[in-house]
Amino acid sequence: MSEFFDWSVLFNALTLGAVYALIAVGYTMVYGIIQLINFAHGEVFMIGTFAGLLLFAQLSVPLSLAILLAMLVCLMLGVVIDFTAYLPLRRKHPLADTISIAGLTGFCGLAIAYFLLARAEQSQAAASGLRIALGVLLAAIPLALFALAICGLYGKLGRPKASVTSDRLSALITAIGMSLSLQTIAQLVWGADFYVFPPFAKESLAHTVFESDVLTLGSATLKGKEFVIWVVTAALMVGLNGLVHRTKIGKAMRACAQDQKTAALMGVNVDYVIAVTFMIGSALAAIAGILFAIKVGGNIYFRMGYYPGVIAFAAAVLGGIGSIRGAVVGGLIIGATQAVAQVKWAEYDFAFAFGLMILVILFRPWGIFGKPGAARA
Amino acid sequence: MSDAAMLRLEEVHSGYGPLEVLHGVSLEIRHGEIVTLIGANGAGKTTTLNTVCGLVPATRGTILLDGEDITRLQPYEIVARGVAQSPEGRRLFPDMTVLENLEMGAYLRRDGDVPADIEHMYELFPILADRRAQRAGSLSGGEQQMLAIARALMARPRLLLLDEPSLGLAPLICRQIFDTVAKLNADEGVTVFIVEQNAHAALDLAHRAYVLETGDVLMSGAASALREDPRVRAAYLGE
Ligand SMILES: Nc1ncnc2c1ncn2[C@@H]1O[C@H](COP(=O)(O)OP(=O)(O)OP(=O)(O)O)[C@@H](O)[C@H]1O
Ligand SMILES: [Mg+2]
Repeated sequence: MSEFFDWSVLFNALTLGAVYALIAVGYTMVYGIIQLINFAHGEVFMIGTFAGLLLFAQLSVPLSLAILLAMLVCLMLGVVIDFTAYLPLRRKHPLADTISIAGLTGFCGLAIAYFLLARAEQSQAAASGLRIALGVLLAAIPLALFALAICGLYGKLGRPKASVTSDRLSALITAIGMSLSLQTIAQLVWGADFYVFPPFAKESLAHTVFESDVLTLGSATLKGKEFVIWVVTAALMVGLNGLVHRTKIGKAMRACAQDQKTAALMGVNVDYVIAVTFMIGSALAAIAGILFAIKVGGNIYFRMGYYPGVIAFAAAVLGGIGSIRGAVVGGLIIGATQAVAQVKWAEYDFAFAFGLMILVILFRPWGIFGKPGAARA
Repeated sequence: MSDAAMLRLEEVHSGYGPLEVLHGVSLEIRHGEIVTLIGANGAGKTTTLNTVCGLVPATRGTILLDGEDITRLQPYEIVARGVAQSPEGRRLFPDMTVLENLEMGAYLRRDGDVPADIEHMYELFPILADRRAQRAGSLSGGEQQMLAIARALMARPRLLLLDEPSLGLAPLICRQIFDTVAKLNADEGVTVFIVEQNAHAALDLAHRAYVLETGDVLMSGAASALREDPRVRAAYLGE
C-alpha cells in the first residue's frame, strides 16, 4: 500500500475524529442557540479529565462510575459558566449579577489561598486541617453557584430587569476570560505538572476492555481503548440525535436555536434550555477528555484543553457551526487530516488541521452543513 | 359574555431601551370578547401585544390577567396562565415540520388531548394535514399564517392574541381566517385580542375596538360605533 496508508492510520483517524466530534458538539450546540463561541469549552474538557483522574486514581472509584461522576461535575460546571459569565450578557438581573461576581471573586481568592498554603506545607507529610477546609470550601462554592443558578433559571432569584443586547466582542472577550480563569484555577489547584492515568490493575474489567486487541489488520492492531472511543461516541451521537429530534427538551432546543422570542411565546423557559445545552456539551467534553487521556496515557495538565479545544472548534466550523451533524463530520475530517499528517510530518499535524480550517473559512465559511446566511462566526 | 375583565392594562408604559413607545396605555378585554386594536404603522400595536406577553418589559403601569398582576412575569409564566400569541410576520420555526410547530404550540400542556387537538387543527385547516411532514419554512404565505394561528390555538389559550393575521393574504383566505376566529370565539369561548391593518375586517369581526395613536389610546368603544365615527373613517377606513 502507499506510504501514507496502513490500517493504523485509519484507526487513528477514527479515534481522533471521534474525540474531536465529542468536543465539537459542545461548541456547535452553544453557538447554535446563543451565537457565542464558548472558548471555555476546552477547559471543561480539561477539568472533566482531572475530575475523572481524581475520582479513579485517588478515590478508587470504579472507572465507569468515575466517568459518570466526572460528566456530572462538568454538567454542573457548564451551568455555572453560563450563569456567571454569559447570562449577565443576555439580561440584566441584579441578584444573579451580584451572586456571580461574589462567587467568582470568592472562588478565585480561595484558590489562591489554597495554593499559598499548599506551598507553605510542601515539607509536611499530611495536609493541615486548614488546607482541607479550604479545599472543601473550594468545592462548595461551585456547588452553591450551581444550586443558585438552577434557582435563578426558575425565576426564584427575582425577575430579570431587561434583556441586554451585548455586542459580540464583549461576549468573545468574556469567553476568553472564562477560559483563562479556569486554566489559572486548575493550575493553582493541580500545579503545572503532567499527570497520567494509572495503568489498570491486571484482571480488572477495565484492563480487559481497554488493553485487549480487538482486531489485527496487516501490521496494525486495533486496541480496546480506541474501539471503546468509537463505540461510546457512536452511541452518544445516536442518543443525542434522538434527544434533539424526539424529546420535548430537544425540540425546545431547536426552537430556541431558530427563534428565541417565539420559543418564549410557546412557553419555553429559554434560559433553562440554554443551560441544558451547556449541560449536554460539557458532559460530552468530560467523557471525551477521560477516554482520550486513557488512550494517550498521559498529558493531563492545566493547559491540555487548549489544542483539542481549538481543533474541535475548527471541526465545528468545518462542519457548519450550529449543526450537530456537521460537528461529527467535521471532527472526522479533521481527525483524518491529522492522522495522515502524522505519518510523515508528525510535528506539523496541527498545522494541517488549521490549514484545512483556513481553506474552509476562505471558500465555504458556512461549512459543510451550515447555511450561507448563518456564517457569522 | 360576562362583565369581568380578563385582561386589564393600567397606564402601561413600555419601549425599547431609551425609546418609550407606549406612553400609558389603558385598556381592558372582558371574558368572551373579541377586541381589536387599530392604529397606523408604528403606533405601538405590536409593542402592546408583546408587553402583555412579557417579551417587552413594561417600565411603568400594571397588567392584570383575571385580577392577577402579571406585569413582571416572564413570557413562559404568562403563557402558562393561558395567553397565546400568533405573532406579527408568523414567526414559525422554519426548520421544523408543520407537525413539530403544532407540538411546540402545546409545549406547556401536560394533558393527553394534544394528538386529538392536532387532528382538530387539521380539520380546521385541511391544507396543513397534507403538509404535516413538510418544513414550515417551505409553506406558502397563507399556509404559514394558518399554521401560526393553529400553533397558537394548540396552547388551548383562554386569551388569543393575533397580530395582523391577514398580512399578505389573498382576500379569500383572509375571509376564511376571520371566519375561523369568529367561530372559535362563538363555539369555544376563546377571548380574542386582534391587531389589524385591515380595519374594515377587524371592525366587522370585533365587539369592541381601541384606536392607538403613537403610543396613546385615542378612542375606544363598540366596534359598530367606531366604524361610523368620522375620524376613524377618515384615518383608518380610507373613506
Ligand atoms: N425591537 C425594537 N427595537 C427598537 N424599536 C422598536 C422595536 N420594535 C419596534 N420599535 C419601534 O417602536 C415603534 C412601535 O412599533 P410597533 O411594532 O409596536 O408598531 P405597530 O403599531 O405594530 O406597527 P405596524 O402596523 O407597522 O406593525 C416603532 O416606532 C418602531 O420603530
Ligand atoms: Mg405591528
